[in-house]
Amino acid sequence: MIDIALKDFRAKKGRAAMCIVGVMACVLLIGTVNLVLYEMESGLEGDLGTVHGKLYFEKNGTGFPPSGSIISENLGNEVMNRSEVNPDKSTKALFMPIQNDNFSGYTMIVGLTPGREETFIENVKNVTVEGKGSLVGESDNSVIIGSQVAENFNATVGSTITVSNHKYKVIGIIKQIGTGWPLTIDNSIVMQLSHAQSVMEMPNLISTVIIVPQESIDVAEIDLQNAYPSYSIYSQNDTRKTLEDNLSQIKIFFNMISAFIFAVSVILIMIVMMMSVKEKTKEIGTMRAIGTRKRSILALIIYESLILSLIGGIIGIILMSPTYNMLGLLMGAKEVNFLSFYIPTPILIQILMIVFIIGTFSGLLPAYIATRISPIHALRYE
Amino acid sequence: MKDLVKGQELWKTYKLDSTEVHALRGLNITVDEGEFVSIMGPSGSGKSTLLNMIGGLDTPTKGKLYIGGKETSSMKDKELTKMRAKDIGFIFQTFNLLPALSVLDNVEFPMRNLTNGEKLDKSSRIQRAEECVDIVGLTPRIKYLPAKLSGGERQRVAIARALVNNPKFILADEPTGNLDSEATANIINLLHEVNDQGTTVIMVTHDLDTAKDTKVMKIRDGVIES
Repeated sequence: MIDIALKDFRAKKGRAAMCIVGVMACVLLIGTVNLVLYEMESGLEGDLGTVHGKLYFEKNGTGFPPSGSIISENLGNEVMNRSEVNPDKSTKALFMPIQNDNFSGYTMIVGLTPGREETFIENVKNVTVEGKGSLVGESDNSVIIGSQVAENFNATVGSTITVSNHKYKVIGIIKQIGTGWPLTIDNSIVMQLSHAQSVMEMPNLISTVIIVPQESIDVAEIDLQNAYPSYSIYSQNDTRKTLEDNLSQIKIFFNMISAFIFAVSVILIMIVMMMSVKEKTKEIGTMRAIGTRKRSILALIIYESLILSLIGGIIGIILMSPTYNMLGLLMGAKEVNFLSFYIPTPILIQILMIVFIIGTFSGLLPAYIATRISPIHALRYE
Repeated sequence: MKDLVKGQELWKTYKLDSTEVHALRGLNITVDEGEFVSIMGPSGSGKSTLLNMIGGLDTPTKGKLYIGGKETSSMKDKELTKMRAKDIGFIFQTFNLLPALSVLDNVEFPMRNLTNGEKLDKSSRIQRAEECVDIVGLTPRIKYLPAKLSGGERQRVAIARALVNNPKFILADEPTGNLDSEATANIINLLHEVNDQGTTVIMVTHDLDTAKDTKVMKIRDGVIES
């Protein structure tokens, strides 16, 4: 019956084209949305790296990045001197987001104790710094910047950028983390803590203490929390939860869009297939009259719907990668190769399942209706 | 000769709102193997109802109908479908070819409906379909779609399709109703040739000329008159 379904759909090109375009649009939209989510999840692993093996001591309920937390530097010093804290690797830090009129998105000023830059950026997957990775021995106006900042300011190592009316010399650029989606570290301008406090007019104030524990991170977290019950000891697990909470809202939104697109697709193809069954009433009646079984009629309609879905799905999958790249370009990705065909296997499997489900579901009702056609009435149908 | 179709006291009653309409009123019919029977009668006389019953598309409200010795009113839909596929060849007034399929594919199609054990492999099916297309003289048009054929040619394809499973009998419902006189003569000749080869033909027609040299059964008000 597959060959009959193919011949049938070739004979009704207009109807077939409508179905194919419908499925293609569905796959393209759902696929691209899922690809974006997948990449965001992968990219956020980069952010998770900034807190891996570390604790963030901050004002209660702040989260990550801790830009909303303000604590006194004295308290920070007290924390730094505790036995659970490795003073040689931990650092006080000030996080402060700033807006820039020249580009959209935010830039994060990160003030750190010179020599402790790695505490902020270490453990991040594949992190490399072009130029210098440390502020030790550098002047107050020296900064290490993230890749997104470098792009926004069109900066290179050695160039000068102006932030909040201050000129800074770029001594290092942290190479892009993740897969093209801007992350905290990509948007950071790392400078000396004392200078950050000065330009942000926050003397003796910090956002957090980034703690590298002396021994067990879990023990340190519990001990510090017990010692400072009105403050948060933020760990990688908390960060993951925050990031996942944020992502889950985006996921819910995108999944609702996907579900809507899916439903529209199924209904569209179902309507077209219903029209097809209606048009073919006489043919189906003839087939039934000459001895075609109901299950063969059922198979014929479902095959037709599956073939159309599959063709639309394949075209959608082919167009998914360039569409995603285009979206990435609009969202600020730097390196986009429109000729690349990048679809992770889980997404591909998911899309193929969607195509299969669309094909089957949209064909089921029309196929069932087709099997209910009485040959006597169908033969009289004009 | 053996009875191929035997109807005893056949009634068919339809309900239209609260009114009962009797399409057949205790009709008796017998068609022997090898016969060429023409069923004639005015519109609304019950010809189509009778044809649908003989074709296994409908069952009597009352009475018994035997096709090839089997009583059909107790048959399930599956069995009736199987009987239609194997034992009956249908020819319709409006040809009813599948428009997306070529002449060859249309003729081959009924062989797909045979059940396991009777079903031929694809190459044998194609070979048999080619034979039937040849019988009706359409080999040069074997790859044409129905839309490219004349009415007479389409009906010849329908005859080939009806013959392809070597049915016990052919049911032709006004097979020349949409054809000109030349095509009508050709189709009737072809049906006679088929009948001469031993296949029983039961034809519904309005036209006395086409019923020439056949056993005529006149039906009126749901009963056979003669």
